[in-house]
Amino acid sequence: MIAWLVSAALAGEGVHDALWRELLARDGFAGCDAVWALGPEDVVRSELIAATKVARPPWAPMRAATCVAARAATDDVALAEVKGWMADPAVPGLALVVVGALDAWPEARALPVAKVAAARVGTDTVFARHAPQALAASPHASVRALATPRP
Amino acid sequence: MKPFRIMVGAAVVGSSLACSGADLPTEDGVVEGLRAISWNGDSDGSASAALTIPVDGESGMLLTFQAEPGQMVFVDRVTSPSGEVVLDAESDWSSDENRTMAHYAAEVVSFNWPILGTDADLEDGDWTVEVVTTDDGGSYTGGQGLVFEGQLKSDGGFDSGLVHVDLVFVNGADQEDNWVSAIEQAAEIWRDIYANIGVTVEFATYTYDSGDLAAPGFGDAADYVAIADSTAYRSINMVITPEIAGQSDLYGIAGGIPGPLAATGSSAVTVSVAMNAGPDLRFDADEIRLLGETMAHESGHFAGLFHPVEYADGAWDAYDAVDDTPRCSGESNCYSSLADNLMFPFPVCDDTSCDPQQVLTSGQGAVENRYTGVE
Repeated sequence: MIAWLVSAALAGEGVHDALWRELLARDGFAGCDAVWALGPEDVVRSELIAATKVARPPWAPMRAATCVAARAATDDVALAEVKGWMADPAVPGLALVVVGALDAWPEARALPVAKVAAARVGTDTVFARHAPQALAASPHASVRALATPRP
Repeated sequence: MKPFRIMVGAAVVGSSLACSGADLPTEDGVVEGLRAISWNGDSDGSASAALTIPVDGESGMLLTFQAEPGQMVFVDRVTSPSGEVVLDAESDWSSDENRTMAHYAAEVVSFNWPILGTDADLEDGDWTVEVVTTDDGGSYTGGQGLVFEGQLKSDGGFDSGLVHVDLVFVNGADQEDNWVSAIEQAAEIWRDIYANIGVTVEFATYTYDSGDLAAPGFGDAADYVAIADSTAYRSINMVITPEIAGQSDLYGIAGGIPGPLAATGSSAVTVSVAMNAGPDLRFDADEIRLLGETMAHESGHFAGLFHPVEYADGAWDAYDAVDDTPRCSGESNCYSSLADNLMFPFPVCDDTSCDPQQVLTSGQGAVENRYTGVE
């Protein structure tokens, strides 16, 4: 059974198939730079965001999220998406991906999201066990200051 | 003008001269049923080093070479006592079949022999192993330090075996009840998969105090050595980490094909719990099954298995060397003939579930049973 997502609203079947091959790969993921190079930026971004909402296999939405979160450093559409993850209690895994990506963002852009992460530590048990150490290891001093010890 | 060699997968440009003389390793006794040998030395001016490996009644050997930090080594040629060249890097580089990663330069490389069920038995006598050292760009560089460790096993036969797996939890991965339960259940699925090829899996559990660890061979070498030193000698270390540090998009990775039993920075299979649990960081039944297949898949690499087919640059045109995994061509053909194989490079999923991938052929079982880590 081969199942490719229906993407009638999205242009570029070639991009879709190539992107999903990367997201699915057990070994040898080419990396987010290669994924973003698969097609026009808006097409790839839409595909990646759609992929973060797919359940199977579990590493596909997580892998897509790493690429969206990295791009959110400069892309406002991606930023809006990751902010949604930070506020969604159902996706602590995507929120952790965002926390991991903050290191590479400009500090001024990272700090507001880091504040949301710090607040989430108080309400999300699983997130709370793993996010603080990522915040504490941030190269951004203002983000490090938000880190609290994990329970 | 000296001949140059261009290596697939990692640019290696240089020359290799036939080396004269081969050192004998030191005998280190028997450890957990394995005859252990070791050697420290340097590559010569032509970047080559050679060892004589005496075999006397053993049925398998695993040879691991470690270069200096920042340098690399690869196995160039392995010659049997009767003069048969069983591995020649230059030949394998141009082959569309993958047998071992030992001939691709890395800081740590391991070579297991025999590999396939179709390989001749390990011959008694003096084997010669020739290696070449390079810099991190792949250029042959002589006078480099090398550390060698080898293990030789004496098996009653290759129809069945026992592999010890150490599940090593790091960075709080054992603090999530859902994760621990998932791993326990996944381990049982792995056990069932390997039972079909005659390999019994026995698990032991450890915790190791660290943060997230990098992929084996890509960082945190001291931690991986410490883990290997604290777990069983003849075991595969499976490190369970919330995320793979520095490579958060990795779901799991083996430290080599095959992987080393010696304590090195590559001596593990590492699995990211978060990547395998998905966005909700909780495992459901389907994800537990997938996790079991993932653990079995990556440890299959560590024991010497390749994907039966590789997809790259739009083509399905590289294969493992196992004789009973079909050589498919084209996506449709490859999916129809191999999609249920444990070592297939992609899962087969719709948006709610994935098809089981738990089949291993007899030939793949033969590779696993020949891995020196399998009793």
